[in-house]
Amino acid sequence: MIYVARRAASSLLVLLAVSLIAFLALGSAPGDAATALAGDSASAAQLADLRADLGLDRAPLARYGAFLEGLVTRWDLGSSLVGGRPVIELVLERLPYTIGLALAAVTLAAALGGLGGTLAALRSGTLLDTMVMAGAALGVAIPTFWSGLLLILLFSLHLRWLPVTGADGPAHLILPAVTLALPTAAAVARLVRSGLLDVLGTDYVRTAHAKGLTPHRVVVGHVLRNGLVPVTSVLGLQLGHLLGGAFIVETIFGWPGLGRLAVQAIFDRDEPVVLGAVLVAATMYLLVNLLVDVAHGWLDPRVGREAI
Amino acid sequence: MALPTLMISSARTRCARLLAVRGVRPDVCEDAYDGGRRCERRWFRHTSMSLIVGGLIVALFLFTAVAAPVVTSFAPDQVRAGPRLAPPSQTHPFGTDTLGRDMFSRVLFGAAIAVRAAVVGMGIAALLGIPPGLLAGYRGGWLDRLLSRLIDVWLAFPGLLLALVVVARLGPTLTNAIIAVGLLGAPGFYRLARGLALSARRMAYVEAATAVGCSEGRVLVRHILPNLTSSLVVFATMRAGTAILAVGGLSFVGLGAQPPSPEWGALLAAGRSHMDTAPWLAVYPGLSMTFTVVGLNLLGDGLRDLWNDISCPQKRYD
Amino acid sequence: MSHRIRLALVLIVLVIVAAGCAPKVQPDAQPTQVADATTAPAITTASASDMPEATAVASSATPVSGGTLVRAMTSEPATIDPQGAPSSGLSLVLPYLFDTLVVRDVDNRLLPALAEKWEVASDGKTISMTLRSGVTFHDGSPLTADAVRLTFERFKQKGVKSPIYGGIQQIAGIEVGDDLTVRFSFKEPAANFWSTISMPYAGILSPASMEKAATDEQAQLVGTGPFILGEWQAGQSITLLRNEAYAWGSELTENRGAPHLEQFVFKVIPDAATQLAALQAGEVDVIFINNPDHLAKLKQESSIRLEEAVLNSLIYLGFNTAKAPFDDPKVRQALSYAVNKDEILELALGGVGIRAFAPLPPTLPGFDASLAQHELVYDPARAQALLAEAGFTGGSDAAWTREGQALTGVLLTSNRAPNDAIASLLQSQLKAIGVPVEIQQLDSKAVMEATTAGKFDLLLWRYDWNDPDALNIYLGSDRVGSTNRVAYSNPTVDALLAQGARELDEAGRSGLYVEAQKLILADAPWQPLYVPLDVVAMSARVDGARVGYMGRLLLNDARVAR
Repeated sequence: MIYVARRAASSLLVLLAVSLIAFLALGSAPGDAATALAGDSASAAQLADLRADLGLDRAPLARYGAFLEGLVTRWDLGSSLVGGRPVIELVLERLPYTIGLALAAVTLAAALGGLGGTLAALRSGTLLDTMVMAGAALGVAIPTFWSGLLLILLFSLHLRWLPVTGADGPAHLILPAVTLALPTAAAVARLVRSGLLDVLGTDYVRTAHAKGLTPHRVVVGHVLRNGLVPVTSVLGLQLGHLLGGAFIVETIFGWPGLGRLAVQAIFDRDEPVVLGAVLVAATMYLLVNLLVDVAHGWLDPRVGREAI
Repeated sequence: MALPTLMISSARTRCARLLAVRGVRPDVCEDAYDGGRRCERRWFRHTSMSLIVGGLIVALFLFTAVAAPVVTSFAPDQVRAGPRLAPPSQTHPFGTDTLGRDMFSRVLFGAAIAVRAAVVGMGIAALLGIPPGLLAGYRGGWLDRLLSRLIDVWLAFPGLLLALVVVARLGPTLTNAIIAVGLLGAPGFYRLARGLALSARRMAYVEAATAVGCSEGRVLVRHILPNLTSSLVVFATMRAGTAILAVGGLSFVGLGAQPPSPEWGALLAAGRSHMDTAPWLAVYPGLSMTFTVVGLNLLGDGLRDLWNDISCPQKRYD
Repeated sequence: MSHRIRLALVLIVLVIVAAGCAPKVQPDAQPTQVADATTAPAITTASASDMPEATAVASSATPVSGGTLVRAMTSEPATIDPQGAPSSGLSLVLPYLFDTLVVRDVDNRLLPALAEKWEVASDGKTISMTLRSGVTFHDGSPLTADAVRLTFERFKQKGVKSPIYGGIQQIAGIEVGDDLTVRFSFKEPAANFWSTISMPYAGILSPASMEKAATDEQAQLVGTGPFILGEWQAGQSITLLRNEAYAWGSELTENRGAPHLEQFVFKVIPDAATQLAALQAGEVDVIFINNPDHLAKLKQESSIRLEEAVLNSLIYLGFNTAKAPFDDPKVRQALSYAVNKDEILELALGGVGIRAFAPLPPTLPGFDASLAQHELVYDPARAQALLAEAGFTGGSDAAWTREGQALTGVLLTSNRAPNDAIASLLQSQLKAIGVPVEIQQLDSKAVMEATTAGKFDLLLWRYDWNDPDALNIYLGSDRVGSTNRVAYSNPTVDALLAQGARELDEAGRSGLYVEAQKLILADAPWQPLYVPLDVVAMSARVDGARVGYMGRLLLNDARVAR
């Protein structure tokens, strides 16, 4: 418990640092929200009026200070400079979609990868093993911006099995989740296979065999716990990453997630939205990391000790 | 750091005397000076198919990158080298694009850019990540905690946003995209180096070297690093593949290579709107990218298996 | 070891199979496609005013009243406030929810909308309008002169993010006569007034909703348009419902009452390729086409109807007239002669566009076909001769140098779709006369920052503006350092433009702008490249929908087949 509390405290510091970096980096990019909004035809007078209206005429430190103050005292992330809507609203609208896609992708990756890796390990040396490993090698290497388009071409255009875009129901979730899951599933499959192969040959498994436990129980009971550590690492990393939004897949499939919100905000130089999106993504990532480390500690006490 | 006066006489005898005093087995001294040397001289016996195929693919990739100007009959940015959007033919093995430029030439010259992305991107990540990682893992303590916190901040920042912001600040050029990718890849090297240094710290030969009085820097450079190179090289090979994909991704969203550069991600972006009418625009760059990354991964796998087979098991003090 | 051999073999086979399976497509009959597209402008003006085009493609099923039309939208607006920040999403939605005082048709004629008739005072400083009676807002309140007054006063206070903010600020005062009479007064006659108030941004808002919106951020602004705002699913879709009470449509459509359609849905699909796929799959009925190859493909499909609209926009190559050597008109002219516009139209745009020779597009008053004689038409030999005249030595195989300085530069442009292809072509055309140029594609804000600071050599840029005072905005010397990015300054031109801004007589105004354009073309701060076309693709199930001014889709007559 103290461990969790310490991690929470240092996470807050990390979040502060992240928000500061995001603020400074965005501020140093050329152009600000006024240029973005007013467009090509705005006179210098209009730009000045606009900057005053948006509060951009304050010094950077004052703006950051105001943002922090709002966040800490009122849980208020400010309002979008472009539309005026509260950032929290914008983020909360997109959050369920991002979480849904991330969870679906990671679950799919775990299932596919676990199944494939286990099969490959148990049937090591056969054609099945080779096919699974070949698939895994490709899966890791294919760029998602390519595979997503290929999937649309095949499943939505030619076969007409699945809808092209939108997020209205579970059918819409399939293609984006598969696209995102493929590289992770491939990595998981390789890890599971090598982990299983390593452990299947060790002494204590042979001993368990000798003791008369069936192969199935051997696998589940003794092997999984050990092999799961690197797998949970990879899955956790991917989950944390996806919870920040998956921009490319969201664009291709029209998925209303945080990724598109954040990227559009950067192009619009919409400070409050960028800060809000970055903070949310970072918080998710740290949370998932914490959970993964706790899981590691539970799965393998030796690793657990070292992590602390 | 000044060398202790003990270092003046023969190192080996000194080591044996010191360790005998401390009650440590003298054969550890062997490890102190031979640490990490290959046990197996005949390394070529242990080459696997992964290594060979991966090596061949990577060799082909490098050859293409270097030989592109010689092998192709058109310049990559030569407009109207052929009819607009022509499908693959004898004169244009990969077809032509919307401006009539030869795709075969563009894809091959794209390989040269991918080499740059891979090497420089991965190199920057390694340079930025390995030294702090080694230090953190070896020293431990407050340095480790501080650096790990910094890396946490780095990792908590959503990847694409970080690259976007870096490129927005520096300007969207290929070089800046590569730099951004290098920055993104540094934490991976940091963690690897740190983990390796942590476990190496407990290896016998390091204990011995420190016991003998070697300075920390010397221990790091002469004893730990050579042992870690195998793992680092394997990791670097895989990261090279990731770097190619990442730079491609940035160019795909318009933040990397400038036109008319034939970087593979940019080619994919241009070809994406023609996937149904002119699929060759996107297929060949996508295949090339996938093929190259598969090759790099296979090479990495093969190298790792090779090193596992031929290196000596290191004794640990646990 | 053997399984590794198999692994490798399987991989190699997979890759080869994948490569071989790349679908080979029969080459389109490209030359005829291009020819078709370049004759498009003739069709456009015809289709706008006569209906046969629409009824000719009759679907087999009989269109009925009711039904839902679905349109793809690249991005949704932040909020639906006509006076707020502009966006492509907002422009799509506004014309259906809000009405303006006047509207324009494709021939640029001004037609009454909420204003039935108007009178301009002889000194041009007062305009009084009589509003149509019996008009109600969606919230039930009636349209009164007061509503108009409050709308424009709110605009002056809160409309700072709007592109027509400048135009609105020119209105000095608004007075209300009786319930249906409004008087606008100006310090100086404002010739762009009609352009300003005909934009959807100038939609009239209900006072009750304005009051609510002032305090409650969630409150929605309400207009008098043919559709009412229904459900808005953030990030996904916006649904509009028929306004049953609508009875005041303009002459733009035959049906002046409530639309036949029951529902009009905007679906958010950010990616153009995905939009096309959705259209072909029947998930949406209407999309914009920006990609000439998508266009060529759709032309072959008989179930999709295409309509083109010429936009009030211009894409041009600009020179930084404040920076040497581009401050020398001969250099600018020489580089202009090197540009092959036909090649750009054919290769980069697939023929979808109109070659431009004047700083104003053909749709705006002030455009005159006779200006074509001043065009600097593609002539690389003349380009090189001019450079030699300007004192450069060198040639197409060596760099041109003058006083030790080589002639080279950076071509700045934004990362909007065809710009990379156009920039690549310009680069190769300039290289052909010996001027090497480097391309820099930045996002549009970065480009605007760089250009207002004068940090560029060549600029590939675009403007969109619906009034000839575009010349004032982009080429007037009082706008140097802000919107006059090329820093062009010519006092004679300024005088003509200033007069033109105040001249309310259309013919007189046109004449002034034509004179100004002649001078501008001689000075060559811009080489106009082309005028873009908007193409709207509709599925066969849609009948009666037409493309109007600036590509807006007129839906009052539209029906969908079941």
